[in-house]
Amino acid sequence: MSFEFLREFGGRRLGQAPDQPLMMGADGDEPEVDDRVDLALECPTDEWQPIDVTPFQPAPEEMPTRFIDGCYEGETLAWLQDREGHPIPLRLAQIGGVCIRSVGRTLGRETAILDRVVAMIADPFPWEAVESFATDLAAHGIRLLPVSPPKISEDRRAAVFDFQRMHEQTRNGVIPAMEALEEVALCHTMGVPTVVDGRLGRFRCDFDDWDVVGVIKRQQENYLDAAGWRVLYRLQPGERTPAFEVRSKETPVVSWYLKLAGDHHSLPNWGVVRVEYPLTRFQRLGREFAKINRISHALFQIRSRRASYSRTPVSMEPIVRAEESLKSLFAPLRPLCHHFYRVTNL
Amino acid sequence: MPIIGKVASPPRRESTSEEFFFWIAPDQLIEKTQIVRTQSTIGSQEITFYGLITEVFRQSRQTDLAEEMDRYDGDVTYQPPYESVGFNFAQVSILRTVPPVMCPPREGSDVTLGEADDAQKAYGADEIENKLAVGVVKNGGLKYVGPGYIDTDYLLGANGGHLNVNGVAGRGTKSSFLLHMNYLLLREARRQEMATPSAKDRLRVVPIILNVKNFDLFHLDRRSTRFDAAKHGASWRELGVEDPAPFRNCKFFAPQKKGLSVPVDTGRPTADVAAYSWSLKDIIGAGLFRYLFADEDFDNANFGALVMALETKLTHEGAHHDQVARTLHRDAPKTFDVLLKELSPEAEGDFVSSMKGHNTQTVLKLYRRLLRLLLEGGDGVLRRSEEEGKPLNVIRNDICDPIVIDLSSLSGLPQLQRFVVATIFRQLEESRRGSRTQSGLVYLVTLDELNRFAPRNGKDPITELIERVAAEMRSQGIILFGAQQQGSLVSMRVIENAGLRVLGKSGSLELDAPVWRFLSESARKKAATLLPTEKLLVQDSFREPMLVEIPFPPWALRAAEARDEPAASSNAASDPVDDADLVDPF
Repeated sequence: MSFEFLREFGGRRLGQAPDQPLMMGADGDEPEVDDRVDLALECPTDEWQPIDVTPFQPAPEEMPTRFIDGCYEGETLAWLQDREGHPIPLRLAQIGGVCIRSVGRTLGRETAILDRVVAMIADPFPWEAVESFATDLAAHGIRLLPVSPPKISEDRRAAVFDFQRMHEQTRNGVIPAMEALEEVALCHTMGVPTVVDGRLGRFRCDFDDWDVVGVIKRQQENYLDAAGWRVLYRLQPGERTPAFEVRSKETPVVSWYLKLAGDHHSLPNWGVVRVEYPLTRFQRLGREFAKINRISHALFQIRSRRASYSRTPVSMEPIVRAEESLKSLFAPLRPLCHHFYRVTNL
Repeated sequence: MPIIGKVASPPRRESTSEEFFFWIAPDQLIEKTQIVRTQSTIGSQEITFYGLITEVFRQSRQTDLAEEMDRYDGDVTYQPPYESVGFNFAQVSILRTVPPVMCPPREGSDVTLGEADDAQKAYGADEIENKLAVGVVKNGGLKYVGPGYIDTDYLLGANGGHLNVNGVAGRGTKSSFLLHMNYLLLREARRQEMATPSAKDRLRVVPIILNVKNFDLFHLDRRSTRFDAAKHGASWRELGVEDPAPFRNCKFFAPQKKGLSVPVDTGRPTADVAAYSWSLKDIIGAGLFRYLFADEDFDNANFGALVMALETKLTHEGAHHDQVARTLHRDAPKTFDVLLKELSPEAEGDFVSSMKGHNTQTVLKLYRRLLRLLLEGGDGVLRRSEEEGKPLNVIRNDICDPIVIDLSSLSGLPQLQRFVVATIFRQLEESRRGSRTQSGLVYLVTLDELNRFAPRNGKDPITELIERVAAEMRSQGIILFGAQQQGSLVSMRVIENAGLRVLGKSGSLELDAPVWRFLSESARKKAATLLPTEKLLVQDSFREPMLVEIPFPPWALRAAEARDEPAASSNAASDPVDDADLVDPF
């Protein structure tokens, strides 16, 4: 076959670019649509087309002024064994939530909450022993964070002998604690247009009267069908997919994909974020899809342009600033670990 | 004082015992040259650091220029939604640590702007016993932070001596400052005289000011038309001077006119100015003969030996009290003309025959040199046919108002200019020997264009004389207030021996010379951009130069800006100085 093959099937150049996160579920031949998703919210799926949001200028009061991010730095620095011999990792972590607020064109820190924890699967140990350990840690400004054991069946959790699994469980067990701090930062001031780095469903806030937008950089779930994927790959910067509904118990949302960056040499999924907006709020405002366009345009306007920042194509400038601001409050981890070893005599 | 920032010491910007960095609160305008203070508790000890901001930096969050451009998408008309979150930070050179420990401040320590008290502590003014406020310390471009003090022990002999000023021409850099220092010291001496007239250790100064350009300094006793008391008075008051005024009772001296007994025209009434000149007898009597032949001739050993031999032959030495008294030998020629005739190739007789030990060509060379000198300067400063001249006498026995001596009218005769300078230093040197020395009296010799009188690598007697004054005579009360455009062209001994060095605006090429390497990079950059009123003072006890603004002088610095007619003569040519103050120099 000649090179006609390439032309026939839309061959195009691809520049050098770092790998993008895998979209879980996108590795099958035919993507399966999550049954919690209503793709026809804005228009029937066979009518999906990229939507240019740049003509939709947001009103000044619609521009987000608060930006929420969380950070987590940790190191698994010791392990113990319960009476049955299961390996129990100890993970020292610094976690925090931050809110950056724009006043005019200036970004400043509205609030930041930090915590220093030692995460550990605590269930296999006697309660008194765990309590004593927590008291000793508290004397050094560290909070013991008990983590649930891994699931070993649909309805049962318990320690396992696979260290890697126990380690993953401990590492991931810190994330909810970080998200709790993000929620504190989010709720520090309510009622102001806010952008959150990540999913909205992590929070228990009432978003009915509040413009809060979640921007998800790492796509870990598949919400699109084949037609949807085709539209996504055709997006140009400043374009979005039609909106769809994602139902969940916690926070049902209206969601769509927005392309922030990329050109015809970049990866097809380069610079694409998924945006969430509370469904109840959307409905209360009369299901106005122009609002989604304006939100998208606002996000497109405040996209990061820092080439040196690895996640720039999927980042908002204020969120990058929030991350920097929060990380600057963390102490270097290595000395903390050494301090831990010294005070614990490990 | 409000906190303006916090000490920071990340890698590559570490704090040391000599410098530290601090980030600046966004709403603060902080400038290079401002004085700051920070405190740290280290080892249970409270330590205060006083520092000088040597540079202020701005850093954006972008990692390269491409990112800076990307913020705007390459569109100069586009305004990004958020301001750049850049920030300012400053580099500080530590001037003083109280108590004097050698350690860096801690990161996170509060930094505050220095006030007058801090500025004085930073430069150690609180520890100076004999301090003199010479300018107003600048605290950035527009602010001031009280008087800047120097330690006169570094200027007048106890710990060091001499003042050297460097700066480009025509910006009031050098002469104005030298006069300013004369004024302040004279004023202080007068104050002490009034307060404690019988105190043996009170300051007593005799300013001797050499005018090297256009009779500019012949109007020091006249008010400047550019001086505005309302505008300029405040900075004088900072120095404790409520009533700045021109110098008073100056004595003016100018070379005697050729063939006449009056001085050259200086722009002042002739009666105000005394003429000076030397006959052969005067020169021999003062031991100055060798200084007539300075410059390159003295590099020739034969020529130098001949000049010395001739001087010896012309001199009769006797004892006068406890000093050697020189007179013209009774058999020697009585005038320069006669001496010239005796040295001429056609001459025969005892005088010439006594030179036979010397090479004929060398004698001929001496003849030619003397002939040229007398043809150019004869019957003016050097009296060819007269047995008596009007030699300068700058020796005094107590405080004296400025003695201003013109050299500018000898500008075409550099050899004679140098001769006059040599006579002054020689006179002062002689006066500090023996029992007639006036204890505690300090002669302040103000001399611009030092590069002409003590050039770098110069080996002639005048350069050596000035070097000797710089190196050895401070303790004898002879203080050189020198200046030049390029210190790199002046004898290193003269520059290095100056206890107080001052920089006005100087050329950047000059500032790269080794003589200025002791300055920090920041100080050198600052010296290249100083305003005419600004000076950098370098005293041994300062870790960084002190930036001060010098008050505008109330005296005229040239005829065109002199407001009043010269004061009534107190300096008639026939009676040039008050005899009561005069001391026989030899």
